[in-house]
Amino acid sequence: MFRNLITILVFTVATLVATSVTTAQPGDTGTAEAPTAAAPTIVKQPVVDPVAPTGADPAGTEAAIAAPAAAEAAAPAAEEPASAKAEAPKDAAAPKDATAPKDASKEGQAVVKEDEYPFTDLTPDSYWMPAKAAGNTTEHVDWMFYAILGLSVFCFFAITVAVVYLTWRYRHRPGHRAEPSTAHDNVLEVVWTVIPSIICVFIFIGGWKGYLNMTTAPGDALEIQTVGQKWNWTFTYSKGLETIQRPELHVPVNRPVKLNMRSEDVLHSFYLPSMRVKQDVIPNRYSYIWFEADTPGVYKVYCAEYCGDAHSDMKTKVVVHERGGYEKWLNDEYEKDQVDCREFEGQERQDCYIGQGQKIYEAKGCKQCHSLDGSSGTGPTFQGMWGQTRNFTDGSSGTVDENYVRESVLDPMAKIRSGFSPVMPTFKGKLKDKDIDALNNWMKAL
Amino acid sequence: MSSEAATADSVQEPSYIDVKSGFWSWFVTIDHKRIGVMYLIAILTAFLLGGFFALMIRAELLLPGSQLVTAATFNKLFTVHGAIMVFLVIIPGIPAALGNFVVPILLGAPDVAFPRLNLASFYLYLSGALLLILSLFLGGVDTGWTFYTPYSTTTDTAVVPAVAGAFLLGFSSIFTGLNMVVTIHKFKPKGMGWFKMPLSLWGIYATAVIQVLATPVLGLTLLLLFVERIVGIGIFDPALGGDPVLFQHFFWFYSHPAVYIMILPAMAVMSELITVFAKKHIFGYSFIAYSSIGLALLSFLVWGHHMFVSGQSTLANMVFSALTFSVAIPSAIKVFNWIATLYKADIHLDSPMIWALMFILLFAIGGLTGIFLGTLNVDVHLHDTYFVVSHFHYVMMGSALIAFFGALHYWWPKMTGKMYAEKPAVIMALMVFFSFNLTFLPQFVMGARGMPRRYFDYDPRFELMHQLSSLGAFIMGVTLFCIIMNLLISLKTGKKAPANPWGGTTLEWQTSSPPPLYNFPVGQPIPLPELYEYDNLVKDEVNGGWHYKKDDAATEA
Repeated sequence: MFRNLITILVFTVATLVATSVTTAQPGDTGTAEAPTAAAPTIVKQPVVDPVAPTGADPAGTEAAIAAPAAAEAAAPAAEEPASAKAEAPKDAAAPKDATAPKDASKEGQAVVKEDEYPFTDLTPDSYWMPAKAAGNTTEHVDWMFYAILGLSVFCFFAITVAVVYLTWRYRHRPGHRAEPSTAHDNVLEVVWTVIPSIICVFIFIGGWKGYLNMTTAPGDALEIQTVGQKWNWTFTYSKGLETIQRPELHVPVNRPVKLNMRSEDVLHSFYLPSMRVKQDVIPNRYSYIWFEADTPGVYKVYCAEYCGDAHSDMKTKVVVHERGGYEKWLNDEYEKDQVDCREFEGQERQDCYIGQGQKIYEAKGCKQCHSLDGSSGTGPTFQGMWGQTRNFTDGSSGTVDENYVRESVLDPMAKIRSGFSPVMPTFKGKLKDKDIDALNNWMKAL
Repeated sequence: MSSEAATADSVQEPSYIDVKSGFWSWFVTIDHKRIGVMYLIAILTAFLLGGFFALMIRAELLLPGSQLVTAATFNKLFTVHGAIMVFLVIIPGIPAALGNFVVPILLGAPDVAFPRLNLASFYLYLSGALLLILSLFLGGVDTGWTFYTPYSTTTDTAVVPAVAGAFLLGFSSIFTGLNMVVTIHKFKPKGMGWFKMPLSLWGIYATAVIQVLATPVLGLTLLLLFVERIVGIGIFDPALGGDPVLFQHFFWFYSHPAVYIMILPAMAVMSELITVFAKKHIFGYSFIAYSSIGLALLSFLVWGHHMFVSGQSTLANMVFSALTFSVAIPSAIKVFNWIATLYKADIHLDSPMIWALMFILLFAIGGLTGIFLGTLNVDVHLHDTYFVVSHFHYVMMGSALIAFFGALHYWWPKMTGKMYAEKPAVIMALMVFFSFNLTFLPQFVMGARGMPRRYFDYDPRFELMHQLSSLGAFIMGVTLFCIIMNLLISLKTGKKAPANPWGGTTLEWQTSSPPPLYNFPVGQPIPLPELYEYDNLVKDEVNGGWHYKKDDAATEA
């Protein structure tokens, strides 16, 4: 009967081997030159997908028509062009732009659009983890992951060997009886309680240190307002006092980026596997996430908190620009918005240019009490207020940030600045969440 | 007690099955054994239904894009799969079905402390189950089994009947827990102190304590959700000034202890099986007993690890992460104790023991992968991915449900008086082990690579791993169905079970199979053999079954 146990072990090993062999990276054999060789510097290709291309598929023919050379590269590229990661992303990844025409029902409003930024993170660079694009988070997350993986594999192997060996060694056969042995041993039991405890303490500390790094954004981070709604993302970029909005995330390389996030409806979760960061996006408060991308490229963004029918389509991309590329992109996009604004006349044209924050400040009466020049009125001035620590009349203190402003607007009595009277009316119902977003964006620049 | 005496007793008194017959004799029974059997039938039915939904999910995920169903249907499928498996199968599996049957017998008692409450608990379970099923016919629920707000307060699917169903199921669980606590406290026979109790009683006792203390919170939470949806009181809905994250705190304050409602009895029963089939005293009895209680208490303090990326404060995350690691220790102790029990033992590889050994290995994987998720920075990456899906399937299915099947094979002869076909049982148990790992090992890899959970459509690079996973699930589905069939067939064709087919030292094996109405022959003293001492047990090679050597009969009572 002990053969059964050997069979168990064989099955386990076979399953592990099967998964690792079949999912291993066949790209090592013969596709290495495909991306660069096949890719002319195509940066614009028509793709069919309202949200984002999902990767190469031999069945997808659009790209083959647009870029014939890409066709042969498409199939292997789906699995693993190991070399792609190191290439200049925009160019190298062009052939992988072939999009699988997916289920028609989910693509009701699919339109052909220009895709300027095809993905570069189609393939993981290791068996276990996705491609890395942000040293500050990936280093310690991956290190801890592999450390625990090593420990787990060792422990599991030891447990399996112990169970299989003991079962075989002490299996029942004619004439065999259990030998007398102790039923408890305090020293042994204390040892195997204390050793795992010590290991756990080290793992906890490792995880905690990394996590502190992940949650503490540097003060000079580039801030981008992020809104999740069913089922897409909106990113608001500040340019001086004005803003532009785009459905894709653009960030500069080697600069900390902080996303201030909120949801328009239900819970979502902003998940960027290549940076190893994730944060739930909540309707009634701001949450934030930060990362510092160190590899230019285009990476996937997923929604990781279930949010309804198109949950799995709620994805977008983050474009990590080369040095100087972000500023150029921001200027170009800003110009585009300016051009678009020329269609409007009069007041509408004004709205198009001027930051919403300033408009709300003027229209909703904030300016009656809050100055922009540093002088105190009925309420404190907005100038230089952002990020400062303020004392409140109840003895507590706090930092002026998104959640503080939101609270002050909706529930002004919650925290009263020392030296001021509790007289501000609530703006609950008068200001919507997107107005508060605009105020936050604008105040930061004051 | 010798085997002749046992045979003589069973001749004298009819078994609980034969004592009465007809629909009403079951429908209004207050016999804990009949209620246990009714639970078992209901649970296995629910299991087949939940398993069918799981296979639908795996079939849909064979390829990216839409294959069988729409995204909306897919969302309802994983919701109902989760709700059925958690509320209808795993939570009541060992405590309510098997526990109901064996706890009074293990204590030498004629019934549980509150037999009528026990029946009420079963009917609450049935009503809750029917409401859950009803919600399917009213269009289904698409919130996920966690009912997270504000999605659950805003979706237009049948949340209300489903939540009402879960509410009733919660009360069923509380009633059972209450019954078990009182029964174990009050009905211990003379000579059985707390530390002379079989370990399965310790496990069920610890479970019952959690059921009584934690489940009311689920009831309140679901009630609030119910009221929120119907009259809009605005406690969770941010549109009304509520806080959606509050729901997660309430929900996990119950649902994390609920994981221990599932796993503690599983661990306890596995401890029992390992000592019986190893024919050796369990190693470190008191460490195992204390670790059950320790786990039960710690389980109340770690709910926040479900919320590391929910927007909860950094400090709270740190505290919950540290507490989470403390749960790892008692679990590790149990694994070491089980392994130590095998040392110098005499291991009989009957089918329940195969399940028990599988349990040790699968639970090890489930536990070790929990370390990844308890580690703060790694969890940020792995949270809400397939890694988590795979981890909790290793714990809830690979451990709790595997233990349930092991325990079912162990007590089946006692419950029905029939022996099932042993060879198919062993082969199919091994097939479950193989197909289970084939299903869920690829999901660890997918998850670490960034495949989020609850996705209807996925990136083509995950296709192969999804297909391996689906293949494993189909094999496992068919095998589990055959396992249940093998048990059912034994009712017709199985050999008559001896009183003590496995050589157990606990009380249920000292009465006939199946037991008489009041569990032991009325008017005779109940023998209390020394717990986990196997030296005097000998196997009857002719008739099967074990009995005590005659000349030692005097020392048993």
